[in-house]
Formats: sequence, structure tokens, C-alpha cells
Amino acid sequence: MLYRTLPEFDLVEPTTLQDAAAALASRGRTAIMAGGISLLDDMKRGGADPPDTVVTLRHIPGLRYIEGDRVGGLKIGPLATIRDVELSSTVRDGFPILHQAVSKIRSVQVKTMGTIIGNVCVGTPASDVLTALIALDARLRLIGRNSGSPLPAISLCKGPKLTHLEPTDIVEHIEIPGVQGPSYGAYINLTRTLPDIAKLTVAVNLFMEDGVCADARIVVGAVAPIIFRASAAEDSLRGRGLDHETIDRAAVAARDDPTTTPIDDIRSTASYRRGMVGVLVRRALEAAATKAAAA
Amino acid sequence: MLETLNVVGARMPLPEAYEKATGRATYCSTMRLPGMLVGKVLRSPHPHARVAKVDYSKAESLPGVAAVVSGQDVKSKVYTKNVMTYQLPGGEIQDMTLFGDRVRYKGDEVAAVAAVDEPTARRALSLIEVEYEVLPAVFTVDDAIAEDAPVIHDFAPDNTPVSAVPTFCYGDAAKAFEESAVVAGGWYTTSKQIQAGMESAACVADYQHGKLTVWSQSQLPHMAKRMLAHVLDLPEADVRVIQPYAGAGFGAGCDLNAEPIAAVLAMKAGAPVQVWYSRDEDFNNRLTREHVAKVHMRVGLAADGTPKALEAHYWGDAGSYMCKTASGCGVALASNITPYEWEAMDQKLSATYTNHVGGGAMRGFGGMQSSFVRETIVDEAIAQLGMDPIEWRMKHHRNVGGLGWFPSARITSCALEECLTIGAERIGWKEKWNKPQSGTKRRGVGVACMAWLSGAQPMLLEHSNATLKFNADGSATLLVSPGRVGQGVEGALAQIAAEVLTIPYERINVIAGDTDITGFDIGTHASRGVYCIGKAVLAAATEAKEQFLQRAAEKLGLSNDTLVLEDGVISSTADQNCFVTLEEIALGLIYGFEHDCNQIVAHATVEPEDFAPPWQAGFAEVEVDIETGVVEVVKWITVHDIGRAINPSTVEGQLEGATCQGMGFALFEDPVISLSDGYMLTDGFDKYKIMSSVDLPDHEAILVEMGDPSGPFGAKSVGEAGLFLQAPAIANAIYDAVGIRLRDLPMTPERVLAAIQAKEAGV
Amino acid sequence: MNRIPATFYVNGVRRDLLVDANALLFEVLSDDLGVSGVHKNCDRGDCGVCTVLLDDEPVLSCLMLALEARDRQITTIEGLAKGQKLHPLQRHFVEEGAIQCGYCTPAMILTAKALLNACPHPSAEDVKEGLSGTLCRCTGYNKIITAVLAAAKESE
Repeated sequence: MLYRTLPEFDLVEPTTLQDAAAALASRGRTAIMAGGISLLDDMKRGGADPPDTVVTLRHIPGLRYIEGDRVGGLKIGPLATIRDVELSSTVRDGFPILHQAVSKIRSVQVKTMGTIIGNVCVGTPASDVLTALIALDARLRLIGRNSGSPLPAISLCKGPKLTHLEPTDIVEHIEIPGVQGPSYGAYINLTRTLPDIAKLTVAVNLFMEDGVCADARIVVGAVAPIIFRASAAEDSLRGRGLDHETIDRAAVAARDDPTTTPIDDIRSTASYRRGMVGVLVRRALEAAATKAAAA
Repeated sequence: MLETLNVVGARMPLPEAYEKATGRATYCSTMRLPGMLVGKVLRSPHPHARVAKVDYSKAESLPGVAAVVSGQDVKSKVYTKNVMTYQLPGGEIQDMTLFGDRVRYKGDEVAAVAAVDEPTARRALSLIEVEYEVLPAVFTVDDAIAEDAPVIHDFAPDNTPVSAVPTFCYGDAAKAFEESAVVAGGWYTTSKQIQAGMESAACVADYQHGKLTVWSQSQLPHMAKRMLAHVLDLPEADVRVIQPYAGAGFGAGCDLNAEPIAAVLAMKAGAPVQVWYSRDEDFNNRLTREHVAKVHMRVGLAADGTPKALEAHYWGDAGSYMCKTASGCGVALASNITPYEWEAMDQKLSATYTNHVGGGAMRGFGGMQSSFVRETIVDEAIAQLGMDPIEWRMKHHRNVGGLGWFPSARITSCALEECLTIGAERIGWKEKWNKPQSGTKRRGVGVACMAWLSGAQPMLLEHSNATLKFNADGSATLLVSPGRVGQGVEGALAQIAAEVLTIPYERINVIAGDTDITGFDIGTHASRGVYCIGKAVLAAATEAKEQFLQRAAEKLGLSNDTLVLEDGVISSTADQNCFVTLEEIALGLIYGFEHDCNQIVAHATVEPEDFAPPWQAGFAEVEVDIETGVVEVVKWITVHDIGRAINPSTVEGQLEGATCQGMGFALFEDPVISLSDGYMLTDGFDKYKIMSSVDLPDHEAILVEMGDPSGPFGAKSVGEAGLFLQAPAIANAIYDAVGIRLRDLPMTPERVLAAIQAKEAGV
Repeated sequence: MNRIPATFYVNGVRRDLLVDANALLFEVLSDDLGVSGVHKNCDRGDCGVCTVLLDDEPVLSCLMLALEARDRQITTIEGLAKGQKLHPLQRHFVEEGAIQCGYCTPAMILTAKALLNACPHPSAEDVKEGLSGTLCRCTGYNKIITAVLAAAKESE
């Protein structure tokens, strides 16, 4: 040994989810590892309390799956990688918003190693994937908790990189509800360079009935401590056709949403981000409206 | 136009490419010597403090720790990491002390350890007890020049040891401005770009039997050796600097990094020590691009477009130590001279200390700040006169015999007009320039020009040596000492030698990278490699050829001037059957087949006189999104006056790589210094973004080869020139698209949008 | 901290080691197994310079525990040439001038190899996407893209 970047810990390699849950519960400061990217990165950055036990899920069979379809809904397992989701025709055809968001992650290596669930559970407010999942009304099924009611993706975070998950929690899968009627979505972000973390993320998902917007999800990331739905903007669309005026009104409502509270950081400025919420929401709605019109 | 040659001009694979493609190449960071220890540096947590006491006794007694060093272990000699100080007759400012009693930025070196492994070294660092007396600190030039600012270096009580020094002035600028029909200009800022090669700073030191060997990423190994001898108080003869391959240079190898620290640790530990910076350590502590924090420039043009006056004040933010900040400003001023025929120039420079990492050197040293500011202001003035920016440049550039970048320098060649013509055609200037735009996405084209240099002579010493020794099989070993940073110069030098000697490229074996083996060389900086070292190689090869001809004449019983060398064979011009091969001569002279033993060895030493400016025109087509401020570069074209491309593939590679760095400088590379403690907040590639393959715009490099009378086979330089023009040409293209002038780099969407909105609001 | 006996297949050769739980794959390869062609730079997954292939898939050896790679096939740049005969990607990188400082080259070639495995006839855009996780500061990517396309064409 010459170089050793990580602090010391025990590695536990359970072969069932039950054993994994037991290992997480029975030790001191534990951490769960799937792809390992964000966990090892955090440990290298030397947080105050690095875990003394790391529980890897890699030896548990049957966790790498993407199942279902647009109508019946989708389930994504804990070891399904970002790459798996990107290459999945089910996702591409049935849940294009998710496919678009996943395609924004540019490193093949990161997509090969990283899991969708791991990516989401980091809880960053600039997450492309979480923005899209919220627009798809995704939920997280946790082992041993809320067995009847999975955790909605929109309720996952309480702040930047802070989630409601406990160190002992294991996400059994992410589920996306099926959709019966026509829906049209779009995903857009703004970055400095394409592989960079987004300065702003926007996903929209519109449910149309007879040329009228029956329901809408407008999700905005990186302009508040958590990713949120611009509810006033959504309300302004319901029951209306997707004309320019309606779209413009919704975009302004999203920009002026009281939840929109961007900050200055190395990637952008607060004022720019705020202004761009309106522009990107409008463009995403226009893209969705174009698809709706073409259908 | 130029005579076609055999080896020169061919697209040869680089000699080192095989090692690099197979993973066999050695870098400082991949070295694993037997018994090698891990060295780590203890860095100041304060941006400014007195180091009252360092107690490392606990660290020293930790098992596995081989050495701990701090100020008590070294002679406190004043030095500088800027080894280029030896190139100027009077030297540059020296203001550093190894492990001194004052720390001047958050990250300054306080002590260091060497241990058997990284965890032990890290633990040892945490056991060193340091008492600091914290001092007030400042992080911007404006704060550092305020009345009550803390003094960072005692010898500079106003923190500005270089203050408004007039540099490269001539003519009556005030009068020339009065006579100008238009005057444009203002305040500009440019960024402290990071060189960001893929290998972070690394070195290895070993000390045995009174001899110090340092494996270094230095681009200037002979001068690094001299500075190491000075700071360690060793005889220069006892210091040897070896260069494995470096994971890029771009100027980051112009200054020492941890070499002195690794050396002190190795001397105390009695074992080899590797110091390999983590990437965040590298970002915060490796000297950045020479940082010209602000520039004020004005230019005046007569009504007919005649360039009247250029006035400039370049103000550097030196950070904690001067290193190359003042000289970077000086080079910026110098490089404002060559391009256009100003009637008068009035320029000055200042450099101010602040409490963050200092400015070193990056590719395009000073020229980045001259080209962006000058080419955008000139564009503005030309627009005010309603002229075509290409036609204006065609008419008003300096030409052969004209004033160069230094008062005694003269221009030896200029193909700028050809560059402009080719580029204008290629980008579709006539069809695209100055066309009204509407809609959300608006297109524009822009142009900018530059004249650079091929080595910094005559301002700086640019001494090079080359030695060729011939083996018994007629092949040759070429000893040279450039930096080994991936620029491909070793292959080009072999091509020059092979061309003269008319032997295959593969028969020239280049040995570089060891100060005990090669002759003195300044190394690699200022785009000097192929020109300066190439001239030495050309001279050595010519001398070798003469020796061969002399021996052949003796052997064949003919006189030299009746002989000709072709394809490694010397033959009589009168009788083709009367010949002798180089191999026969070389073999005979080594094994004494004729009468004497006398291996053919040729040596040449060169200090060039001319600066042989490569000229260049850069063309950008952009699309500006007026709602988001996002600027997409649709097309980029570099047309480069190379004189002669020794290896066109390498020349294109230099230009293409530089294009990406220039685009970064123009659009998104943005180091952010904390205004509360001076720390480099962009301390990783997650925060400091460089161009990836998916960000790549359509870009191409076109070479113009018309020869330079002073260059080896007509060659001029290419190392730096490729990244000067992206910022100004893109800025000018943005103006063409949306009518705004940007004065701050990088031109982020935030800045572009703000300027668009200000224009719409009539501000 | 626990240590676990592990078997690695590095370029087809079986290697048995006792591995610390916290050892990264990069550290075991470069320090314990003497693989000098694997490099490390950003340490955080942003540069891709530490890329190796794990069962033919590109992974970041600086963000993976060595133990996670056990019992699997690890391919490093040393595993590509057959004796003195370069792999087509290596040869085209050399011939096209796609190598400058060379520090990213092993990772770039391995990333390209993974790309060609998944997409044997890529367009230039496919190559750009496929290489986007591996940074090169020197070349401007043009010659790298040309080299990858040439290697792909050769295998047609």
C-alpha cells in the first residue's frame, strides 16, 4: 500500500435485502452502497462523520431490473444503472421525459456505475433525474417502512442534499404510475458545459383531454433548496387549451412562484436563474404543446 | 510555394506516442521507486498570518514517519518558484522563503512530512502543532490598494511593487488621439484561467551520496535545477533534474511546485519521496494563468481608418507572490505592438499583491489579455467608421521589416493577408457579416488577428543546445532538452535532423529530459521549441553533414564541393558510381577501419536574434439566444501563418487543442476566489469546467506555409498562438449578431443576457 | 477495518490478494499490481482519466472499491496490444496524432473500446457522446474522434 484515499471502514456484503437491512440497523454509522459514486466521493471529501460500515447491495441477486410499461407503470430496481435506464426502450418510448433527463448525464462511466436510485437519493436540488421523476409522479418504495404508501419523489428531500431517508433505509424500487390517456412532456436544463451539473432544470408533463389540459405537472429544480412543482403555473393551465397566451401566463407564474428562491453560486446567479425559470418553462410547455398538436 | 522536402512536412507519428498508447510511459505521478515514501504538505488555514511556532515532535515520533520538515530544517533563502527569473539580465522579483515565518494565502506551505504511506502521512500532518498570529487579508486589487490595507510583503508597503511603469511607448499619443476621428475603449477584465492538464502537480526527489535527483514536470529543467541548487544551498553540480513525461504543461511547468519540499524531505529521510497533489490541492496551490485583473485601453483611428494611437494600462493581481504577474502584463503590452501600425503607443503596467494563490504562466502568456482587449476595441472603432473589419486589418497590419514586439525586434515574415483571405472565404464572410438578424436566435460572424513570437528573444535569454552523435550503423542520437509536455517537439526536431542528414526519421533517436545528459536549454515556453531548439538542431545536423562530407572527400579522394548527400549516400556529382554511405563512414570511424577512431559528434549552441512572429486570423460564427444569453459557436476557423509546418499533424493538434482552451477562456472557464478567505472555490473539475467532447463546436485549423527566412526550414511557432483569438472573435461575432460589446471574460450567458437587456433598456 | 481475500482477472491473468475494505480499484491496480498505465486525476468522476474496463464496461477505478471488482475481468491499457502488435485503436491514435501529453490516452482508448463494443459503426456524434466522460486538455478532440472512426472502419 502506498496511496489510500478513503478512511477506514468495514465492508459488509449481504446476499439478501433482509440481511442488508439487518446490517444497516445493527451497526454504528452505516452507509448503503449501490454504484458507490456519490458515497465514495463524499467519503473522499472527508465529511465530519464518515461511516464505519459500508453495506454493498451488489451481491444481492435480482435487484437490477426495469419492468413494466407506459400503461401499467414502471418499476426500477436498486441496482438498475443510469445506463440501463438510458438504453431501455420501455423508458424511451413510454417515459420519454425520464429518457431525456437521463441522457443529460454525459459520462458513460458514471452512467455505467451509478444507479438511478442512488442518483436520486443524493437529494441534490439540481438533479436532472429527480426533476423528471417528480414530473412523472414517481414514488420510492422503502423496505420496512410505509409499506402501504410509498414515498412520493417530491417528498424525498428536505433541503440541498438532505433527504427524509434514514441511514437504515433501503429503497426497494422506484415506481412510476401508469398513464391511460395522452400525456406530453419535455425536459430542459441549462448548464455551463454539457456534462456540468445543471444551473436550472425544468420538466413538464401535460395530460390532455379533448384539446384541453386536464392536468399538468411543472417541475423546477436548482432554484430552491428542493425541487418543487410550480403549482400556480399548473393551476393556470388546467382546463385550457395550449395557446401562446396561456403558456406565457403559466411561465410567468412559475417564475414568480414564491418557492422560486435561487441563489448565487459558482454556476450562475440568482437573478439569471429566476429569469430563466420563465423562459425554460415556456419553452418546455411549447415543446409539449407541439407534440400534443402533432398527435 | 515552398520547396517540397522529404521528412520535413511529413505527418510522422511522434516517437513517444507508442509508449503513451500502451501505458508504458512514465509520469511523475506513476513513478513507484523501491522504498519510495509519500510526501504531504501542511498548508496554512489562514490567508495571512505570522507563523509563531511549529512543533512537529509528535508527528516525528509516529511510527511510519520518515521525516518531518519545517522552517527550522532549511536555510531561509529568498527565492522564487518562477525559474524564468534567470532569463532576464536583472532577474525578476524574488519574494518567497521556503517554510518562511509568514504565510500569505490559505494554502501557503508551512511544513511537510514523508511517511511509508498516505494514511500515515495524513495522520502525521494532523499531529504538527502550529501557532499562528492571524493578520488581516485582502483578496482583490481594489482592496489591496486601499489606504488602510494590510501590508503583504514588507518591501512593498503599498502592495504594488510595480506601479504604473511606462512600457513600450513611442510617439505623441495625446496628439494622436486629438487627431483621431473615433476613439473607443474602456475598462476590461480577464480571468485567472487554470492550465488544468490532466496530471496534477507531482514530483519525486532522491538524495544519495551527496547528489540530489529530482523527477519533475518542469518545462524549464535546467533553470529548475539552478533554482533548486539555490534554495537548497547545494552546488549546482549536485542537482540533477530528470523529466519523465508530464501530464501536460500549458505553462504550469514554468514554475516549481513541490520540488524543493520533496527534496528537503528526501534529504532528511534518506529515501525517495513523491509529492503528488490531490486535485483540489492543485487547483488552490498551483500558480494560475498570469492574472491581469483589469485593463484600461483606448484606441484612436483617423477618419480614413489610419491607426493613430493605442493607450493601455494593464494591472495584474499577483496574489501572494509576484512570480510572473508583472512580466505577464509586460508581455501583454509588448504583444500589442506587432499587429498594427500605430502612430503612437502609450502603455504602462502595475502589479499588486493580494492574499490568494499567485499568477504563474499559462499558454498564451500576456497575449490572451492583449488580443481580447485590443481586437474587440479595434472592432468597435472600425464599426464606428463603418468599415469592414477584414479590409481594415488587411490594410493596417505591420509587415516585414516593421516594428516587432520589442524595440529592437523586426518582423521577418508576415502571411496575415493570406490568412484573412482564406478564412473569410471559408467562413462565408461576405454572405454572413453585418446582416440584420431577428428572432430568438441570432447569428453573427467575427474576426480577430494576432501576431505572436517564436521564442521571447530578444527580451529574454533563449539559449538552446543540440548534440548529435552517430552510431556505427549510421543512425544518430539527438540530445536536446525541451519540456516534455506532450507538444510533440521531439518528433519535429528529429524530422529537422533527418531532413538535413537525408536519413529516415526513425534513425534519429531523441534523448531528452535529463540535465546531466543534455546540453543547457531554456526549455519550453514562449512557443520557442521548434524555432529555437530547431535552429540548434539544424546547425548541429549541418555541422555533422560537413563532417561526413569531409570524411567522404578523404575516402573518395575528391573535394567536398564535388560531393552530394542523398538518401544517406554521399556520391560524386560527376560519377554516381563513386560513393560512400553515411553508415560506412560512421562504422569506420568508430571501429578504426581507416586510420583513426573519431566518432562523429556534432554540437551546436544557438541564441536566436529574431522573434519570427507567426500571424493568425481567427473566425467565429455564433448563434446567440437572446432569451437565455447562451452563445453557441456554430463554426470556428483558425488560419495560422506557420511559416513551414515541420509536422502538419502536430501543428494542427496544437491549434485544435488551443482552440478548446481558448473557447473555455472566452465562454466558461471561470476560477472563483473566495472573497472571505481567498480560497479557490472552483477546486475540482466538477466546478471548474473545461471543454468535453460533446461541447465541441465544429472547428478546424488551416495552415499557411510561406516560410520565414530565420526559421529552421522556414518554420515559425504554433505552441501558444491557437488560443488568442477565440475570445475576441467570438465577442466580435456576438456584436455582429446582437449589437452588444462585452468587456469581461468569460462571456457567460449571465453576462451576455445582462448586456442584451441593458441594450434593450437603452442603458 | 476488514480485509477480504480477493481474486482479480487483470488482462486475463489471475491475481490473488488480501484487500483492505477501503482500497480503491485504482490503488490496488497501481500500487499492489504494478499497473502503471492506469492514471488518476480528479478523484471525483469528472475527468474519466482513471477509466478501466470491468467485464468490458467502462468504470472509474478511482470511485470503485477494489473489492467490488473481484472475480471480474479487468482490462487496462496494458491488455490491448498483442506483443508488439498494437490494437487498432492504439495504432490509429498514434498515427492520427491523437496523443499529446498522453495522460488521458489509456482512458480515452479504453472508453473508445467500450464505445465500439456497444456501437461498432458510430457516427462522429456517437463518438463525441461516447467519449464525453473522459476529458482531454491537449488535443481538442478532433484527432481523437478521427482515430476512433478510423479504427471502427477498419473492423468493418
